[in-house]
Amino acid sequence: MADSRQANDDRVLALAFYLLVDVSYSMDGAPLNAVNKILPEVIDTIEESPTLGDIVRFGALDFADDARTVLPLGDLRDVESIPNFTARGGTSYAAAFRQLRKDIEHDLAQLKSDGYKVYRPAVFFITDGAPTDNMSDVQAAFNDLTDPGFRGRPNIIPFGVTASLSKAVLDPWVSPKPAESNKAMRSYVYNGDGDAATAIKQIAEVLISSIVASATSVNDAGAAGGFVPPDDDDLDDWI
Amino acid sequence: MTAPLELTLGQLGRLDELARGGTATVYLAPELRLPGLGDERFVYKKYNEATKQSAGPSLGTGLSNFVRFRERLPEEQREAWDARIIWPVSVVLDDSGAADGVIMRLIPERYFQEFTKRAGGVNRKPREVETLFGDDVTSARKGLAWVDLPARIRLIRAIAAAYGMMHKQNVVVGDISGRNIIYDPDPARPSIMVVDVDSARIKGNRAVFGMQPHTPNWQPPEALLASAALQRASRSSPSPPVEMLDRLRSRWAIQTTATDVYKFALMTVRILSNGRGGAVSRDPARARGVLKARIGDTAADLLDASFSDDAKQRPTMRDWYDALQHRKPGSRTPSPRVAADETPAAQKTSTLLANGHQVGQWVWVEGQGWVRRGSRPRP
Repeated sequence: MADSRQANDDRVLALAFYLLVDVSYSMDGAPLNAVNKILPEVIDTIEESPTLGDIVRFGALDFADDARTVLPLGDLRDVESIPNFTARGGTSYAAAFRQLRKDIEHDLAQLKSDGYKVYRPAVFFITDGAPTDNMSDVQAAFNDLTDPGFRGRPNIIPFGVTASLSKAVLDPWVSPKPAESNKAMRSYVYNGDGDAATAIKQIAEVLISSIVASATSVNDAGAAGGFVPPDDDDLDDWI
Repeated sequence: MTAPLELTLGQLGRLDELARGGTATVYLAPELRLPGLGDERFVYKKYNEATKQSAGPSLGTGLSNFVRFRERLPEEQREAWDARIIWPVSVVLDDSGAADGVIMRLIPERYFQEFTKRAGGVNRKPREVETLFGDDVTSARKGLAWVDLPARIRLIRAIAAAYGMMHKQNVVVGDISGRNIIYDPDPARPSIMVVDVDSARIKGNRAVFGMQPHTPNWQPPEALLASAALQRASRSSPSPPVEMLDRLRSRWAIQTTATDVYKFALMTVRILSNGRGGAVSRDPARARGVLKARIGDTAADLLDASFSDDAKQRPTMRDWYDALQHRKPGSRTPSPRVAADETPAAQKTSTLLANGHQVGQWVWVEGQGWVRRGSRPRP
């Protein structure tokens, strides 16, 4: 018989979510206005449920020519002033992936030292365009972020908010891919009648549903199961 | 007259979607009236395809047994049952005659809360017991009334009464969490209701939806042990025999009156030691102290015994209910009736709040505590 701590592991599983937003100039106006409504909605959901408050840790990053941590991963009940996303520059996926790797490494180490159990975080990645940087650079940053040796390599779900964006542009940045895991993620490109702002509003809804479902998910062994990706049934207008 | 055991979709009238969850969509059926249920309003809980498939072909029989169970209760007991539990009253059949969902009474108005949103406006939804687990600052920001220790103990006693009644009728509650009890903190009449009873099980029968896992952070020790053993076994090489894995799988999901008692104790801990981390806490120290000081040693000992790794050592819900009926001599808690001059909420905050101070749906009335806005003042 294993020792009781190993046999009876009741440490709390923290769920880490990141929102990664493209703030290149093409997102200025209605799309970013819609993005700026996501954080207040997520915070409301967390604050209405102490259980979610105790287990969900949420962070936000933006990227243009460079990437920035807009909201460090943490307990959303502590957020007094909700940060805004504002437009600037081009679309460097490489900068985004590098910043994400840095943040995740730091944040997960912090959560573990605080006594939480933690699985791979989830990244909701919102963009309206292809990267403007060198592709080999983007690939290298992505490889580093999703390196199998990196225990915090995230689940990445890219959302393209305009129909003009091809899925082929987003699919390389999905992680894990079907060949890599039986819990593969996928990309989504909006194909409905609305505009980018409508698409972003729908992302907010599936993000919140995913957070709520993840909090009660159970794995095959009956333990807390961690991240539950969006349900395709809630994304009828997306391909 | 009682409500019909079965209804067809066409008999429900207009349906307005209220909420969509992972297993079902809930609709208000504003035109539906049922014999024996007076002026009640009803909701239709329509299970989604995945839920129906997981329940299999016995879903209709299982739901019918559920509905019949309530009808078989003697009238007086059924009234007590309905006062505390939102239980299915009819099964709804689809066009092919297969079970599609259930009709339930709409949750009474006083169990709804308007949660203040950060960007203005409110979210209106049932006030789940988990909102008692959180920190006071966030609760106040959301518009929740402050609930003091005496009122919390009275709510715990009400939960013990509801679970005790279910156990007496041979019903295992099953999936207990911070979301399937709702409460009204009104100091004049703190009360609770048990909702979302899909995972309940009449002893000797399987649950309608088969084996249901415990909600994370609510697993009793025996389930945690089985989960850990299963995780180790599934990683080991060579793989253990299938029978062994099956045995472990059935162990992690067993729901009994003893697992109910463990989870009730966990709920007691989380209600009495609220704050950051309170919704997932398993540390009984503070709650034990509160029970010892306000109820007595018996209640504190019951808390310890409820957390026993050995399910056989845990007390019954009846033991809990009996213990919570008593109060320590000299303690103000929990009196069955609250006199106006000792309203529970008129303690800690009275020096901080001005008469007429409003939080969400509540107004602070000096000498009375929190009073629901628009309600008549108590004499």
